[in-house]
Amino acid sequence: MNEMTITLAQYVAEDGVNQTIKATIDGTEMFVPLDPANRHYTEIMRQVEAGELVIAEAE
Amino acid sequence: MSRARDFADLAGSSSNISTVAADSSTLDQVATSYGAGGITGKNLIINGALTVSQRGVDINSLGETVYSADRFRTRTYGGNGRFDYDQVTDVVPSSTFKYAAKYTVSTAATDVGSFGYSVQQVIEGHNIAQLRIGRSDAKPFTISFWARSSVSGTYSSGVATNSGDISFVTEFTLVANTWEYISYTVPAYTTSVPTNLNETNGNGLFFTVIGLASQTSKETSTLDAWQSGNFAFSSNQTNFMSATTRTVHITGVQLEVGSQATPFEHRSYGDELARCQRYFYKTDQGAAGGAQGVTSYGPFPFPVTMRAAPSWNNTTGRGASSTYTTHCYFSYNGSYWVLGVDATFDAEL
Repeated sequence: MNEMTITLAQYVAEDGVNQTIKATIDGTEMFVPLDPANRHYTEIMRQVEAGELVIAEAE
Repeated sequence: MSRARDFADLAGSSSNISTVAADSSTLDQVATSYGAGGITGKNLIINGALTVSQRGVDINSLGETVYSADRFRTRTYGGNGRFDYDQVTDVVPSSTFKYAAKYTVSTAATDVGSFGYSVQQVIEGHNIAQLRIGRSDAKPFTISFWARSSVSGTYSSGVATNSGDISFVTEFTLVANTWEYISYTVPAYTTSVPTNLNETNGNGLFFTVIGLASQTSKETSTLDAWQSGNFAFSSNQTNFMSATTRTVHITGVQLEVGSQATPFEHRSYGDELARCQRYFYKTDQGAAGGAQGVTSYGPFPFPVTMRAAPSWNNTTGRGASSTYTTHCYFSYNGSYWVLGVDATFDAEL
């Protein structure tokens, strides 16, 4: 059971370094920091590890 | 337990009592002030009077772990029932409270038993460290709140530590459309420190203010005692979620150290808002600068240090850069830029 519905996840980079993840979470576009204390980041990574979500590379 | 003892808990030591009492003329005066909620800081619940509602005062179709009034969220555990939330002034328990949170069943649940439903607040680990959970000097604490339901029956309330290592569940009865003052004391837990106990900036204590329908796997008949495992509902829990338009109201939510419920601690709006902004901040008056076509950075400070680096979105501009607990940077990086900010920052638990 997913706590959040997450789609369209993609890294956003600056100077070639990933800074945030842009994702649509429960219908809202969010920019999520790469912080393990952030609940959105935790859920994104949980879904990635479960094979339920793929984060696209930065453009 | 006496007010003097509660005051002693608050003051921290007997020597402090005499100091404070001397400043206030007499201990009786201090105790009277405490009893009237005149000493601040006793309530570990944030936004207990439902005064702050940054996300809106009318939010529809709330599902799993969706926040409504600041710091309060609904739980559906993945079930198909949904709530509408309103911050209301017309149905409150007394003139002491200006606001209450009203939750209305907007979609009836057809999966009760497989999934549970409740209204919850998660208390940050830093704020429960004083409870000394699991140690020999652990403290009891007392929870109190006002509740009103359109459905008579038995409802649940309780707490669980991080990862549901241990939990405490109680039950209470509501008569339809009648405010009830609920209070119960959670005894000190001295057995051992729960494996995943968080006393920093994570999930300290999951507080189920009111259970609204039970999930079998989280249901217990062991009431009014700590037990191992993640339980949230009494086995006598009423199924409130079986029909739409049912309503439940809550306000005056308090959790305080000690074995006695004392009058609700009213805090100033500014104080309460600042506490809420540690977890969620909304602005429509931001002004982070940026220019299309060049690399530029616009630091945007937050009004208070947030619990964690927040997620954010904005509706009037575009931007993406680093966020920290104290500020974020908007930057132009060839793809995004921002001139104005109408943004939310979310560092909720």
